[in-house]
Amino acid sequence: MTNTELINAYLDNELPDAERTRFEQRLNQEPQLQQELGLHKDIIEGIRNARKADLKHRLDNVPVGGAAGWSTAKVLTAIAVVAITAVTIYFLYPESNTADKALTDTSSVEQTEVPVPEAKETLPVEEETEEPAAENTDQNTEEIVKPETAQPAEEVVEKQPENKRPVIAPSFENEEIQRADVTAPDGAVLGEVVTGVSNVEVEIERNMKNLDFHYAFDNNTLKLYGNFDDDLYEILEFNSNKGKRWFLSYQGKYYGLDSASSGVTPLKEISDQKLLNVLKSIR
Amino acid sequence: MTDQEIFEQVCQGDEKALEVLYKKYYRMMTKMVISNSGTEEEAKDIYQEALVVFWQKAVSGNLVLTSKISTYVYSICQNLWRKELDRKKRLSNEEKDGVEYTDYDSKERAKIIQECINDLGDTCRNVLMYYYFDGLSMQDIADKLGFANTNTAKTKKYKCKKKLDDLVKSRYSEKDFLD
Repeated sequence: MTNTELINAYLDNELPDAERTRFEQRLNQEPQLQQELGLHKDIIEGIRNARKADLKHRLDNVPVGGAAGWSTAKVLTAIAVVAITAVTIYFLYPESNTADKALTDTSSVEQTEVPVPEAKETLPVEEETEEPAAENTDQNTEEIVKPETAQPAEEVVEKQPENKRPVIAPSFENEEIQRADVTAPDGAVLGEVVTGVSNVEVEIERNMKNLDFHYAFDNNTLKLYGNFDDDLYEILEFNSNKGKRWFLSYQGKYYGLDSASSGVTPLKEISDQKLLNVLKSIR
Repeated sequence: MTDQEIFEQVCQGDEKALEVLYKKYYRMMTKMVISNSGTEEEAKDIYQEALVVFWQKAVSGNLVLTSKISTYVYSICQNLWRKELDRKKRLSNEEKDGVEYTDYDSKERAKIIQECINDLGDTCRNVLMYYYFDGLSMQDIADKLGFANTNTAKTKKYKCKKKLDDLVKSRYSEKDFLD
């Protein structure tokens, strides 16, 4: 057997034990043989790398659909514009007693049956289920981010919310029940609840330390200042006969968004119980 | 295709099944890297690496899947990305310290070897890759490449390896690397 044959047989685990031991003894004494073994190991490594490259090349040619759109979406930042456009006639008139009554009533019973919230809530849920072993994931992600990135903390934080960003699914508009009349127990029709996608863009500004939990409207863009990474947030959009009205829902609380306000305004939690009930039931 | 079906087909060396898998979890896996300060390109690369690891283990019969494929591949992605972040960190430290270590010789050697592999015929390339990377048995190689029997496969593998060895050595000595 030539040295090359011997080395190949050794690397392919084809040498009987006795020969193997003898070969290893020779290796210790012959640097030349050792060198040649090194070369052959590199050749085998090269074959493996070639196969890896082939497989990766193959995968490279697989169209992955959503990937491109997703990266563009990155620019739009962590947006959760899952909006309900509610064409309501009454509820924006808190002055009207009858409307108040009707609204309060509906929120307790009938409104919960309105299928709109279901349709909407499936979005974040789908996101969740896609994640394998969610509890592990989060922990591990943290582990990676914190001790091992040399990046500045803010930068890491900035990218994090993508995990939680719900996708504006196209199927949303095709949802079986798109509109439903909201009917009060006494039979009064409150109006239609229509689901749809808002064209308002939401941007999150995290690095303005003195502007925590503020918002500003700029044309069709809603800027939210502060850290909204802890939970999903939703923007509720209503068409009223006073024009469009927006509300922010975050961590179980609701905030009014006045598009007429100029500049950066602090987010104020809504305390009006009637309005809250309506928002909750619509959502 | 269910995950179970994909897994079974991957185990049988069906590269199409790997493609299906790749597409299926592309977003989920790349998201992990991107949200941990990776670029989209890096994310794709890590995911592909992870799938290649998965492929090799599955196809060589060394993988008993005790979890969902996605969970398994996800954990590979995490490990690979962690390593990559470590590597980057080390690299930037080395640059700061002014220490730049590049093994020119071994890089050159790897390049020559790659060229030689590319110069082999398709059959030889495949025999060697199936044997050394996929870890297929001679029977599987014979089946996959349409050889009459395992002996033919063995002979092929032997001859192809010798051809490659000779090719590498001749080019290597041309460049005066040996001795």
